[in-house]
Amino acid sequence: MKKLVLSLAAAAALALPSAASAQVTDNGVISVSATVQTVLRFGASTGLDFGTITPGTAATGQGSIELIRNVGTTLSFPDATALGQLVRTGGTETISPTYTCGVGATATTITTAFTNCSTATLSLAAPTGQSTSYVIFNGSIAASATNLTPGDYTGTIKILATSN
Amino acid sequence: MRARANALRGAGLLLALVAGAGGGQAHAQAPASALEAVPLQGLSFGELIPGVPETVRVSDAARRAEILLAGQGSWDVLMVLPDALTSAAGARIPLRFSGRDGAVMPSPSAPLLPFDPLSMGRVRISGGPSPARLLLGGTALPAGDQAAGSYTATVVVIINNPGT
Repeated sequence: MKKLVLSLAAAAALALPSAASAQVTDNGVISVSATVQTVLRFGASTGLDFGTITPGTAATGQGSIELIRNVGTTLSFPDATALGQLVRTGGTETISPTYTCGVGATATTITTAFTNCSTATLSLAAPTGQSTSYVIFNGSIAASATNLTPGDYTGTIKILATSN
Repeated sequence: MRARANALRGAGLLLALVAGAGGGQAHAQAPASALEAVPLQGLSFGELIPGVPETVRVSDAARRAEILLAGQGSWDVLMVLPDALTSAAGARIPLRFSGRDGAVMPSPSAPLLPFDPLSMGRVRISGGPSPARLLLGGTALPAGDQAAGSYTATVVVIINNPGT
């Protein structure tokens, strides 16, 4: 293409009469700009349910929440000490499951794990575009911790996502 | 296709410049007239939402591009339009320009005169107290998975006095 342009230019110069009227040119450059908004939000969640626990028997459960973003993101847990702790409805008895947690492309498999599920943070690089991933929690309750007062036990897991 | 058109326009620019410098007699003559192209403001699409096209109309005084045309006489004006906005990371947002995206504003109080930015056009400038302005709008087409961040491009405006 460059060669073609030079050839055309040479031809044009030759074709012009030497006494051609003055040619005056000027160029201006205009900037064009846009900013694509940051997308960072949580979507649908699947609760972590240990089901009906039989006293003396271990229990497990898995929960997840969608994370939709187009920016680099840092995940952390704002209430680390109480994260995922279950309290009996109408009572004070608690269950403190152990958790593993991380992020995955599907709602079931962790591909990037937190080092722990209380004080750790996890930095995720910016994706090439908007993407959906999942923050996943796998919980387990040891058999020794299930000899409890009957009832419903509930708790919450809070996750903070911050763009970076 | 647009890239090819722009490349051909680039060839046109080179032709014009060579024509101006190539005539040995031309330098000895006073220019037929002088025109200065002064960029006043860029074409700003502002904040884009992924997946949502954004159009800046040529009547949008706050966001359209404006270039001041200071001088008088008849001038050939050519805009070399970009195909896309690009980010520092190389992400692209396609741009679309139509024949209605350009205009000439002879004076601040005068109605806009249509100018097709897709092809070279002749603009007559009266040289009145208020310089004319060349205006440009356009449409940005961010993808649904467009990465967040700043995107830029440039429009080159080439002005050539065809001589008499």
